Amino acid sequence: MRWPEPPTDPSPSGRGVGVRVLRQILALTIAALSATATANPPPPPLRLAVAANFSAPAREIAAAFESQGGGKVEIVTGATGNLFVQIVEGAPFDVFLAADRRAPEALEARGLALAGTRFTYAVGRLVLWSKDPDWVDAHGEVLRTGTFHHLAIANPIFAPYGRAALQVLDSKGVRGKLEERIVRGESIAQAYEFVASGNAELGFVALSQVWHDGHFDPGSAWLVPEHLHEPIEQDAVGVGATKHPEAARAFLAFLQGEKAQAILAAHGYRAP
Amino acid sequence: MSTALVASLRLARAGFLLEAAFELESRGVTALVGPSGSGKTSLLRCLAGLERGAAGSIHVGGEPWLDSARGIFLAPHRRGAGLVFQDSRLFPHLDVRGNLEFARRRAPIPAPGANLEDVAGWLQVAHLLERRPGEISGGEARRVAIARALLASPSILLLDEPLSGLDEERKSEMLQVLASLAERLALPMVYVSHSASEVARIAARAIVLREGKVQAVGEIADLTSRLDLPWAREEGAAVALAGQVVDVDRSDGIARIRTPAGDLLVPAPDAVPGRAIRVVLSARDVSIALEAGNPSSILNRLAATVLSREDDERGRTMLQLASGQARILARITRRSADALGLVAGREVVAQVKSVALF
Amino acid sequence: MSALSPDHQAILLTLELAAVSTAIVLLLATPLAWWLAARHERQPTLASIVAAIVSLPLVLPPTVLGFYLLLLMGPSGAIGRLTTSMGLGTLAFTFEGLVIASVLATLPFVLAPLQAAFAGLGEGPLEAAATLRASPLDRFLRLVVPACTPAFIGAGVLAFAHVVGEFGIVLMIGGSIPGQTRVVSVALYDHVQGFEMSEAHALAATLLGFSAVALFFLYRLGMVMPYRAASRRP
Repeated sequence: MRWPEPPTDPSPSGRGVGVRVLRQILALTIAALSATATANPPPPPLRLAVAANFSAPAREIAAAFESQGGGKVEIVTGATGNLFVQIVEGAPFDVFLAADRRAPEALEARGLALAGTRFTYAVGRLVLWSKDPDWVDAHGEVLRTGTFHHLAIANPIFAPYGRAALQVLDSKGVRGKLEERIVRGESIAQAYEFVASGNAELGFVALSQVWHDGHFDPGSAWLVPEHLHEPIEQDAVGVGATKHPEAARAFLAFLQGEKAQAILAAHGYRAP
Repeated sequence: MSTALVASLRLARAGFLLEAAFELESRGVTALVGPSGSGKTSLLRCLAGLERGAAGSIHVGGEPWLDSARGIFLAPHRRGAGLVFQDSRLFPHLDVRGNLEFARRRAPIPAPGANLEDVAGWLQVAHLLERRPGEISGGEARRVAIARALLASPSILLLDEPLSGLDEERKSEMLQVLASLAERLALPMVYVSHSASEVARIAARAIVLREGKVQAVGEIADLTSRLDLPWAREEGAAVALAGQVVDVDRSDGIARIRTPAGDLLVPAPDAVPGRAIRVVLSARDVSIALEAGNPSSILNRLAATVLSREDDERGRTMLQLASGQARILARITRRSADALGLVAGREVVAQVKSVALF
Repeated sequence: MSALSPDHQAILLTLELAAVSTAIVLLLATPLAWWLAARHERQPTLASIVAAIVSLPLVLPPTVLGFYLLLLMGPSGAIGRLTTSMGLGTLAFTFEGLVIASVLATLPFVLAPLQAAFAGLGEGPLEAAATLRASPLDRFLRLVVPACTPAFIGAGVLAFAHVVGEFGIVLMIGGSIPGQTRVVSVALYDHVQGFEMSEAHALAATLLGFSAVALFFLYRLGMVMPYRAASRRP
């Protein structure tokens, strides 16, 4: 049996035209790629290890950095402890934005930090918050008098917000009384989740979690005065093994600048 | 003999309808025969209570096991019908003794003189007690299953093709065991088989099933000699007769057996005078002569009348003959049947070459 | 309770949680597996739907499962509304809540081997037992359970091990309360997050050692049991 002759000139049939167009696109793409390949390769992105609770402001700051010509930035978020271990084991990060001071200090102590780059980039504020508008009063007296079942905090073993929360309870003299009702979230994010889902009537969360567009989310809140606890300082540091120390330092400098500070404030953090 | 079970059953399933009404007597074996798919196993399952869709009535010893009109359906574990399955179904996690114990522990009142060792002895499985079900042969498993069913003190014993899968020698053994059980126990036994000649050896009565309906019910002697029933068509077609030993000639060991078909002389030096005995007379062992004339080696010559005749496609003819008070069968070649002019009403001499005694 | 170190407390709590959850899940899974094995052929659609729903925890990441459980158990969730209406409060942050979550998570693991074992036994021996005057409960206890013992043991071991190793769900709904919900997996995590590496290693080693020994004995029991069956009560 003879196969039908392939069309030698373009016929109006849909199939034939489609294939021709695809082949043209393919040819053009290959040409374009080879053209760019011979030009200068773009610089690799700067990799940031960012504590999960700071991910939203970090993304905005990174975008601002990029639009100012600082180069592309890639963000990886996670628990500060996990990120720390990864960096120690050689993960290719350039900059580390932690949720506490301990992790960056530990990196410095081990000689794994970029010299002289550690600084406090943000200070968190603690808020006693409830989804229910009736629970929390403006002075936190509910801690003394309230009949709630569960009070959520971040785990004080490793989360600064959790440590601060305990300090507040101590200063109010109610730690012993409330000990049994405390539930610990593995992160400040989880503590927030406990409260937001209603499983804990109230809890100590970060201001950045319940402050949007200039006011508190629906519910009730007590912005804890800073003198009741140690400052919740979040440090940043350059990673010693970075392949791009100049870019790292540039980003860290940007982090201290006006634009970055404005973004911080809008998210409920304050400058140190 | 009293009636132990009265049943009128109806079971409908996809593409099959079983409708049967029958009675069982309190002793002896009732055979349930019919071709494959005629509903024999289903009937047994209905009796045991394993078919939830069964309708009608079953009364055992006056007690209702099933009475659809009154909404009564006794669960199988309340009936205690000893059903011996074709695939034995021994419990895999127990050894033989464990299987037997399982039944014995749940028997309502163990029959006197029927402990585990005794029953194991009757069924010849005493030497297997420590073995596991996976370590014994099919025939042995079958016997264990029967022993197990008996140890539960059932009110009826239902055997589903107990000889299937056994070779000739084992079949013979098994039939002997079952026959002695039937004699020993005051228990109605139902014996299912698709081989009609098998049951001629052991059953007193039979129910013939065909496509889910009862084709015939009656005494084994009657049914085996009918030309329209499965027996007559089999290679081993035979008539079962109830006989009694009259006497035994000590000098040559020939016993005189009195049967409804007439007296038969059979070599049986061990026969006990006065004893009831079953006589199975194979159609192939009966030849026909027109008159008792010349001396011949055949001892038994019975005066008989041809009742009916059926020719098959293989050149053979089956004759139904009336002899004495009973009927017997004879299978001869069609050529001979034609040559002798054998038609209904013809008087002949039936020459019985040999019989089997049980 | 305060005489025990927090880590010892966590170990005991974990064992308690695993034991209670395993017992409950076996009790729940047995009739369900029985039903599935029986209905599988006659009503395959219904059986498949039930099996699929029960097996959802297999395909969901534990943290997702825990997250949705957290929402469900809260005062506005279906479970939470039920428990508060019964005067029981909410289940998050309670040992009972962890038990329920563990049972849900291990149910599919236990269902599969049990269903297979029941189907493997088949109707045959059960019908035989019925004719031997064994009532349905009698048949189950004296026939099904002994004949399927290896499957029960296997399923139980699987469930126990799964609960001991459960982390994602407990993380989401536990609240890390010592003596109540701070199980070994969470305690380990806390040690690591707090850079307490030597404590983490010690705890992990204890857990590993215990589990290995327990598993060994359980499997050995499961292998030896069928051969001991001959001398057991029928």
